Amino acid sequence: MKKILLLLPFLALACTSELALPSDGADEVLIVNGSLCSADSVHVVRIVSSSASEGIILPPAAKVTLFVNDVAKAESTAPSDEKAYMKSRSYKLECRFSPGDELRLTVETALGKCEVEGTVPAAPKVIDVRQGEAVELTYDDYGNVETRSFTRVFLTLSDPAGERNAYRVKARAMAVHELKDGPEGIGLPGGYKTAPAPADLTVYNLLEPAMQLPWSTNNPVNDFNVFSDDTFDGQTYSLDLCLRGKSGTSGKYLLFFSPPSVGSYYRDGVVYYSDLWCSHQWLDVELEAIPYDTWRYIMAEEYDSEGPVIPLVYEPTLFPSNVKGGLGYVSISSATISTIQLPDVYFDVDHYPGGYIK
Amino acid sequence: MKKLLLIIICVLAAFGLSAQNTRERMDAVSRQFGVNFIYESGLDLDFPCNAEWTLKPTLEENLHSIFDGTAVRWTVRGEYVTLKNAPVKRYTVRGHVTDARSSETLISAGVLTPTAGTVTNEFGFYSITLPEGEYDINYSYLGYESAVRHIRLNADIVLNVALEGNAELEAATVISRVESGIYATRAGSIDLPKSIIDNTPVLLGEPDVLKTVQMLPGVQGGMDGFSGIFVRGGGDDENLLMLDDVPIYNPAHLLGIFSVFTPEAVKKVTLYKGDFPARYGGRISSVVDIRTSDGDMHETHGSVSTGLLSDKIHLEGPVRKGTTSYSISARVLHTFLFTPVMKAFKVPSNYYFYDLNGKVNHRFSDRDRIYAGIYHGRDYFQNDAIGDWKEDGDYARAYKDLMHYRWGNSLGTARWNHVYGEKLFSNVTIFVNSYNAGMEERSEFHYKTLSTGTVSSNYSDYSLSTGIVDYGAKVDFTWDPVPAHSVRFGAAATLHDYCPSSRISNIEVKDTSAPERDTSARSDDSFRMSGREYSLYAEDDFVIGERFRMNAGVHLALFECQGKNYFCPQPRISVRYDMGKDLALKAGYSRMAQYIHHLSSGSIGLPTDMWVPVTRNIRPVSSDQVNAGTSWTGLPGWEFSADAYWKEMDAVLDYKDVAVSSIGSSTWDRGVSMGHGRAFGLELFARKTKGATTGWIAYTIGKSDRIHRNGSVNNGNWFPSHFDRRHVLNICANHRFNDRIDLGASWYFASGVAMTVPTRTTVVVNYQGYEHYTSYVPEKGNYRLPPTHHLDLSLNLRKPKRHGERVWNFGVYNVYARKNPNVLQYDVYGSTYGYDSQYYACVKVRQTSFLIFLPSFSYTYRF
Repeated sequence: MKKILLLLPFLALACTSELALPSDGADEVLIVNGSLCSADSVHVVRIVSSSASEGIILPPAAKVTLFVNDVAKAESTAPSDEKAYMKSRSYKLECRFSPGDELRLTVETALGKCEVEGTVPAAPKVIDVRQGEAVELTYDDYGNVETRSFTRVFLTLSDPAGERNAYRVKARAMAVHELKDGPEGIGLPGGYKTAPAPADLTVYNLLEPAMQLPWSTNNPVNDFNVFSDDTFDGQTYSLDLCLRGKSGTSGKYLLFFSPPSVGSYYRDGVVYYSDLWCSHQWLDVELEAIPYDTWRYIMAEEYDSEGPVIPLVYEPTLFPSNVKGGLGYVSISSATISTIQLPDVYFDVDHYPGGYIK
Repeated sequence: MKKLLLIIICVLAAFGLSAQNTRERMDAVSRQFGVNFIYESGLDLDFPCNAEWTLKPTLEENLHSIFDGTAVRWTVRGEYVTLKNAPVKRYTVRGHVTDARSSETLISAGVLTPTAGTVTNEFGFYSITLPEGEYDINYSYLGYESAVRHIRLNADIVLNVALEGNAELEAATVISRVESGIYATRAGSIDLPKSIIDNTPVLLGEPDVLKTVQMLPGVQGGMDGFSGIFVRGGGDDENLLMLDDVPIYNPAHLLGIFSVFTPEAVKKVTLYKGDFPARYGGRISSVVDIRTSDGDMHETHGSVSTGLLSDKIHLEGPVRKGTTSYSISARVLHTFLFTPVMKAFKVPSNYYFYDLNGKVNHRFSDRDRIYAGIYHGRDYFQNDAIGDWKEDGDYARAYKDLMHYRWGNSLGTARWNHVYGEKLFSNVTIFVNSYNAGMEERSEFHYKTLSTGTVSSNYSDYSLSTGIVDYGAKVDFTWDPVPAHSVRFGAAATLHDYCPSSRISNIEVKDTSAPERDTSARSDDSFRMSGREYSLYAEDDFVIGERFRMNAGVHLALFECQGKNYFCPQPRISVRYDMGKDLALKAGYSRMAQYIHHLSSGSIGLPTDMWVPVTRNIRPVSSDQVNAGTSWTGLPGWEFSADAYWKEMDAVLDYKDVAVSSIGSSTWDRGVSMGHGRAFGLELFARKTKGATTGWIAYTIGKSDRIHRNGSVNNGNWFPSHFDRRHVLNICANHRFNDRIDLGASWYFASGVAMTVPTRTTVVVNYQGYEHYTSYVPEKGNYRLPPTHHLDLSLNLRKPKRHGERVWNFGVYNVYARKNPNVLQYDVYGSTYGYDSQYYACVKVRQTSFLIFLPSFSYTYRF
């Protein structure tokens, strides 16, 4: 960005004119984006329209069908979500498929038919997943120096030789909060469970055994947790994942979510605490085998979103596309999810907000 | 009867008297003495004979009288006389060809006899071996009057020849062996004498070496106005630019508007586009061999020049007449001289550059000479932003942001010429060469709470630099054993010290209200590596018969880096067939290898781009080029040539489509892909070198593209290489009205380059599932810019002065104000955020032109 200042003298004397854009076909084209993963039961496909003259516009009504081994397994004609400001419509497809299945996604609109085809890759082979000690990292972000706590998870995978596979790692902290009766017996009878509350979790500072970074690094090697095909190269690798916890927490167990509130009441001059919470938490670590083009798509998006605001000296980004008859990209992948159970954490008036482990 | 016998005797005597040639005399001797002559059919007996000859009484007397003083030896054995060629004694003529006025050596000057010829080497040295006898040797050089020296060769002699300059450019005389040009064995090589560089109209009236090279066939410039050169489909970093045998890494000032080569210091430029001599290696597309002046050995003279942008001074002269001389040149931008004034007035931005060239040479004897030279050049740009305290409610803030860029080359070289015997010339060179580019930024931000008086300050220092340093030594030999062969061989070793990227940052935060929160952080992401390069070469330029000439050689190179060795044998061969009637055919093959790359992430090169070597993962780039051509000089004062070429390149580097953000100093090789390139084309060249009007027309039609079959670039499809232009036409003319006025004109036309531009807006989804707009590109190089063309005029007004000559130059670049695209940019327009707002986005592509009708002037005083 700062290199653009070198062109200041020329820009001051410049004369600018607009060029007519080259045409790449029809004025209005459908854009289809989505992700079809074997680990999911519900898949979301997003559709917008691109007009060469008007820009992004709402797409026409669509019929979205997912075929698995040439059999229509899911269909949607009503959008489940419409983002007016983004001019996009989302369609949900409920369907399960397995590695090796042949998928075909069709989107039919007044503009014509778009199609995506692909084979679900083999499920990635996870040999071992285990939790490590928590650790603290110091980093700076935009000039602010900060220390945060992370829990480590070691994931060992085996990469099949001869196959062109890229990988993506995701992790989610899940928690189920259980309410128990207080000592006075007052409060909500029995217990109830909330829906799983995914925590705000970032997989941060993914490390490779062959490339151990100093703990004080301020530049994560792999911000998006994707690995290209040649990273593992047909071998067995252990990934060192650092999962960032909530700020202010540390120790043997980290909290990945905000603790629930502890209720109380007052009677006859005495404060009674009716709630005793128990939070069951666990980590779902998902290793996803993605096609090479998906890896390229992710890296292209990263470059495009963080590139120069004014691309005076850089070429625009080339995104891969697998949508026949349209634009966009639909990723077809398979995933293996490994679960790490974390200790149950109890909260009461004396142990709040930190909680305790029995 | 007696009368008849007398008549017969008289006739025979008369016949003997009239036996004018050797064979007739042999017949007479044979009949007289009853002997037979035996000799090989190839024995030359058709040599001139003494008109006065009569039969002698004895056989031996007759044989002596016929063959004495010739190359034929005779032996009598009974009734047979055996004739053989006498052993020929050969002697060598050697010396230097120089300018009569300054003693400046002349490179590739012709040295010609009726039966043999040669040219001087880069140091003006020649050596020619001939049979014993008398000769008229013709010495010639473009722009000089030819000289003839008559010699009687019966011993090795040293003959130094000084040629008088001639203001009118003359066509080169025919010589039997030339390094470059129309008569060269090699196709694809062109000489550029200094006079052509000085008289070619260019941007802002500043004669420029590389701008003139851009006007030759097969050479394309980068964006209009910039001095990058792209030769036969190759990249800008694939040209070996040598300044007195030392490679220059970044030859550009002001992002390429000017080259670093000060014309006043330049003596000769030779461009090789194909059929590369074996002594060159390390780049795959071209060699630009630039030689600087040695300095006048007899008189002190120079020039002072000031123009629209720059000031120049050149001074040369003897330190010791006839033995030691010096040459100094300097050039600066006007802003350099005004820097103190600009600082005093707190002008926030400033830019300047300067070049310094210096050379000393000392001639010990005809056999020994040493040279020492330096070059130092720098570009400097600064942009300072300073904001004084500004209050806003209870807060106030102040800031300071100082940003400085520096980049440039420095080199030092020492050379020693020595002549061994009469035929072997050697040159030993040692050098140090460095290129460095860096940016430093120092920022301070202060926030003050007025009510409490507390101040929070952020300080940061950031520096980014890239560079390369070479330490090298080389030895080159020129050996002319016989006139039919000219052999060159040598060796070189270079240690390369690379620093592709060094990023150091220091951040400090201070808060007077909470000193316990003061923090500091430092990071250092520097990466260095080294490489060692070794090479050997040998080549022979030789004649076969009268019409056929060949140059055959090999360049062996070994490069070692990161524990990996790359060995690249590079054969070179070129042939020339003289068809007579001033027509010649040429053909050749060259293999070249390159161990270093210039990584540029943008559509125009920036000085902070990285120079990186091959690594364990990135192998050398190589090219195989075949070319064929013809040349014709049948029209007096004109030279015509046509060359066709085909080039295949392997392991060419391009950034992967998605790689630039992952480029770090130590991981750059992960962000590039090795692919395959090809280029082919036809070059037509016509040059007029005699008369009041001189100039040339150069036309090239060509195509170059690349593919990365691993799919990492352009989805694995073919795409046009950088600055692939289908047609390029250059017309340059210079008309000398008289000794005082000459007018130059050049017209340049080139098809548009291929650019990658978006065609519409699209939506992408990031890894977290969020959508955002961006521009859509169907493929790399999907758009051809409009053609570039401009007409440039230049007028020189000369006037002799008491101690020299003054020259006013007036010029106009782009006379008819054509808006050629210099920079291209695209933007996503019309985005409006908000849940209820109309949210749309259109892509617009804009071209920026800043070289439109630029007048210029300069004043030069030569003394």
